[in-house]
Order: sequence, then C-alpha cells, then structure tokens
Amino acid sequence: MKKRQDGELVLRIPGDLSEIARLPELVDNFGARHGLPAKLLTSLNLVLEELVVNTVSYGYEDPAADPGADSGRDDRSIEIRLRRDGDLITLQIEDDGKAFDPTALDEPDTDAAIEERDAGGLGIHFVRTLMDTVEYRRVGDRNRLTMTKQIDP
Amino acid sequence: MDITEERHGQTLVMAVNGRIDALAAKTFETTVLTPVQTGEAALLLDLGGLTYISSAGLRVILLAAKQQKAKDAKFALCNLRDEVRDVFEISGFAKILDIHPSREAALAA
Repeated sequence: MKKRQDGELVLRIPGDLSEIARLPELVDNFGARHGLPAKLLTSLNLVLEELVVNTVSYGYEDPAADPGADSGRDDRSIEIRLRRDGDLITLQIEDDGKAFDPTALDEPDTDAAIEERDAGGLGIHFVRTLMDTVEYRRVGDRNRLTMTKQIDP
Repeated sequence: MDITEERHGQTLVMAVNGRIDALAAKTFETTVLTPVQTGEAALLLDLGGLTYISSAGLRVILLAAKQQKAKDAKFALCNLRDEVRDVFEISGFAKILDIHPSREAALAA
C-alpha cells in the first residue's frame, strides 16, 4: 500500500479473492484520516468488495472452460484509488481483465416475489444505489470505473 | 464471522457475529444450509452481531429462504442492525423475507 499524494491511496492487489480481506483496512484508514462518517465507510466497503469480487470472478479466463489457465495468478492488477476533494469522495477502480462495463447490466427486479429472485446483479445494483455517479471507460487494455459520492453534512 | 446455535422449542436459532464478505459467505453457506437440508422445521437467524453483509451472504440467505419455503418450513431473521437493514432494503430482500425486530418477536410469530 503506497500513498501517492495527499488524500489519495493506491492499492495494487493481485487478482485473488482472498485479497478482499485487505480492503476494509484501506477504507477504514482513509476514513479515519479524513474523519468520514461510519455509514459512508460501510457503503465504500460494500461497493469496493462487490466490484473487486466481480472482477476476480468474471474478468479473467474461466478455469472451467480452460483447465490449463491458472485463475490464481498473482500478476494481475486491480488498482484502487480513493480521493477526497472537499466534500466529494472519488473512488476509482482499474483492472486488466477483459472488457466489461458493469453500468451496462440490467437492474435486478427488486419487486419480484421470492420465487423469481436470485442474487444476480445485486453487486452492481448496490454500486449504483450507494454511489452518486458511476462512469465506465475502457482505457487501453484496462477497465476503469470512476465513482463519486458526496459526504453528507 | 462466527455462528452459535441454540434451540428454542421447535426453532433452531443461529446467532451470527462479525462480517460476511464473499470469503466468509462460503462457510456461512455450509453452516446455514445444513439444518435446512436435514429438515429443520423452523430456522431463525439472529443477526444482532452482524456488522456487514455483501451480496454473497445475501445469496445464501435467499437460498435458505427458498429451500425452507419449498418444504413448508419456517425461516426468519431478527435483530438487523441499521447498516445491515439498509442492504436488505436496497436489494429488495426486506420485502420477501420474514424479518422481526427482536428474537422474542420472531419466536412468538
């Protein structure tokens, strides 16, 4: 974990699901440094986890389809940047997985009866609901998701 | 994340403590679905000690609810903390699950 400049934290994590255990400390340290409310930190923790889990689970070659591929490679990168500018928090996640725009997914039907529900699409739904803005760009061979959230007074 | 079990009459109460992220969800799934699959007539998850849950954990809860319903067995939750309740509301799961404000209320239902 390396601090690049004031207010910005960059975490380069290998693409392995066990790495999500490192995310809460990143968010909580950032939150403590900036005196952010607990509810905001919970939202950031949830958003980060859902996006990183999606990337690790779906953004790379499928080991079932290609048994020779090693899905536990540690040379992938998922870069996370948290920044505060005044009362605006910016969260940016960049990964080198295959092109995938989470903003293009359908919303789950949250009014459906239990028989029709599954947990699919929930992660992205949380991201869109909890963050104020969500923007996807493909930059070279990387996916970049940039999100902002206003700190409530 | 740890889960302790207690029996109250016909109901198996599982008290969940800690955080359920995508990693903990695997253990959570095994623990919760075991009584479901062995035919527990009434299962209550007491989430008073749960401080965080993501979609992986919600998926397990939905699976348990569906499977219990398919067997005409009971499944309920109680003692949701505010931040956890928010996640249930946003996902729409609060509408389709049996959620009670306290263990007493859940057991009396």
